[in-house]
Amino acid sequence: MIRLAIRGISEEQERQVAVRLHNVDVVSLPHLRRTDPPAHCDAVAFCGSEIATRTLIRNCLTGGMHVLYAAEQCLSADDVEILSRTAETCGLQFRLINPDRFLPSRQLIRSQIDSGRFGSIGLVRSHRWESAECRPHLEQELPSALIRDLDLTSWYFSAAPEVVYAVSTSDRFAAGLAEEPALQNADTSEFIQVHLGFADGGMALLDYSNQLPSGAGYQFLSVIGASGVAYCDDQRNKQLLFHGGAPQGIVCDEGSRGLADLVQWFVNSLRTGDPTAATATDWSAAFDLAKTVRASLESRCSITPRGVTL
Amino acid sequence: MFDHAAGSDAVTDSPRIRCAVLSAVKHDYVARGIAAHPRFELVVVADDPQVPEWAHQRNQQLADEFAIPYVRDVGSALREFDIRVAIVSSEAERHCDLSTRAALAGVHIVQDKPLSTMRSEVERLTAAIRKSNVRFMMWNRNAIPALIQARNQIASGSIGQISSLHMDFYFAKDAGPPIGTRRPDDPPLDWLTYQIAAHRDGSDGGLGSTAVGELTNEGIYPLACLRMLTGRPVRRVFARSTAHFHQINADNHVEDLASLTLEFEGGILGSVTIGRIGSASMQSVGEIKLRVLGSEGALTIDEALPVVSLFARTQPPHEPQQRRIANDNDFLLAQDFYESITMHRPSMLDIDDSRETFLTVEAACESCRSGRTVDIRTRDDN
Repeated sequence: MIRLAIRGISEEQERQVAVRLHNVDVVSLPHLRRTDPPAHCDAVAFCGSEIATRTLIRNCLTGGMHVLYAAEQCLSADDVEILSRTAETCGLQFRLINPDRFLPSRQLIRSQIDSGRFGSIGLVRSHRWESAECRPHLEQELPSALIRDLDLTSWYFSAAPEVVYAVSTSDRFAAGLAEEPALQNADTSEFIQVHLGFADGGMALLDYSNQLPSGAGYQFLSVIGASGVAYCDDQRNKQLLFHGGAPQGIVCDEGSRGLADLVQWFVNSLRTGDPTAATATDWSAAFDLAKTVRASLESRCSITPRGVTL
Repeated sequence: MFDHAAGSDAVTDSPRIRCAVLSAVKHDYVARGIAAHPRFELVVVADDPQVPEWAHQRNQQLADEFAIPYVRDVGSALREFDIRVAIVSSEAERHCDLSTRAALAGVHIVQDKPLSTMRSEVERLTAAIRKSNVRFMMWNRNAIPALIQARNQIASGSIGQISSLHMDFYFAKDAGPPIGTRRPDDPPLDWLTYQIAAHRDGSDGGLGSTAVGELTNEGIYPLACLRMLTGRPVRRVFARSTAHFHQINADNHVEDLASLTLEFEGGILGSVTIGRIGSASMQSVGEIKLRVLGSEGALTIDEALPVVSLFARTQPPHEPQQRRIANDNDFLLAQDFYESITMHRPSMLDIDDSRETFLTVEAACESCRSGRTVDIRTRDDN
């Protein structure tokens, strides 16, 4: 039985996940400070909205705990490299995974692709709009949510793009302004659109915004294959609430099954000792793509992953 | 102001506007849409004498249905039937030639999309219309109720200033056999032969000797919508395209799937995805969605709404299950064109805006070939 602490989710979510897990004893630590590593655990999973520092994760590893990092906030490439080396030194597992890959909707789409039902993928289209509270970390290449969407897209194509073009309404990507101090305190609301071209004609259009008013966000994903299509649209997945005036839409979320599947997968990989499961190498492709996107934003040109301006 | 309740002649005692259908070999929905409006009257179908016999047959069929003559001489028809409006629904490669001749004859024009397949023809038509000062409208979807709703929401300020807007425009119809089904020894599928046969189920939008892809053929619809909502031209475009679904498109080297990144004048960003993605992709006509981000909020619009869903055990497999109701697009387009004539104002998609969408499509096609962004301003200056 593996003793596992899960950081970044509510007590209710923890309860919902715990009851689904096999061979796992979820250690509940409601009063643990965010900066303290959990004690008496074999492993810790950073999930949800947890913002874990490099120091905290390293302390978990040096404290003898395997680590799953599946939080919404991406680690930097430097952090990933340092923590991977720490894990290797400690003889422990450090797994990174895009949590979106385990959402039931995204898993369903992947299963359709894997079964061959969709044929070759022609187009992936994604919109992710968040409210103004979700400001980007300026030291990051791109907003974490967009990096996760780039990873998801590459996962569906099972390939990296051969050309990237990106545009934005934000000043922070303008060439020559990257180090501008004034931008550090500037209004960081932004819209970023990324256009990818894949070999054999495949393409993707992704956009991210944090310009919505305070409240719920919006997500849309479509995957169009030669012989099948998936549409996953928040607009469709809404219930209506009538309480005077115009009806209110209530988003139907995907529940806790995805998180439980993710944690179970991590635990299983520890038991089997699979060395290939979600290592830092998998994330390097996402980071490389984010770099190329950033380069396109700054240059206002289409760019190949090797950095060649077209 | 048009008064529906009082009947077709309530506004004035003036006669209805006489219209000539200049070739109805492609779709006849434009002619039918105009004919259904009380202020217009189809009086003749005409075409050039040298068009193929199958084209003459289709023209004659429409003429017979409306009990009007079919004349194998466009010039004569425009002169001898007291025509004020020409309705052009030929193959795309002949659109501008027929429209130009009508313009030079002093006749207003309603034309099917696309504007043309050639820039030189677009410029010739534009010059003719400006010289003759006639009204022009390219048939479009901007009067679909959901798009009117979007326009009204934006105009009301509910989402503030537009920062970006995005349209998905997919037709769920097939266009012949799927890609990869042609045997190695078989010849490539002939474009015109296929399009002539496809007239039966209405999927012959690319009718003509010159193959036209979905971006070229249908791109005007989403681009005209975005133009209407922003009021701004596109200045820069990056695009990708491919033949992904249909053997006919692959064999003729034209796209059935495309994606565009658009940069509008004034910093507004946008995107369009467009394609004929096959009947397996949707239980009805296709997925057409509009999404708009503004400074104070956002809109997500399903272009099909309102719909009624219909299911029956005996339902034919390709019959749409989501049926649009309240779609008044045809009437509102015809009404707008009527007002453009009587009030001497541009139509909702006049020649200048139509030319702009053509330039955007042309630039997008170049971007697809080169892999680079294309600045439309530079191209237009050249």
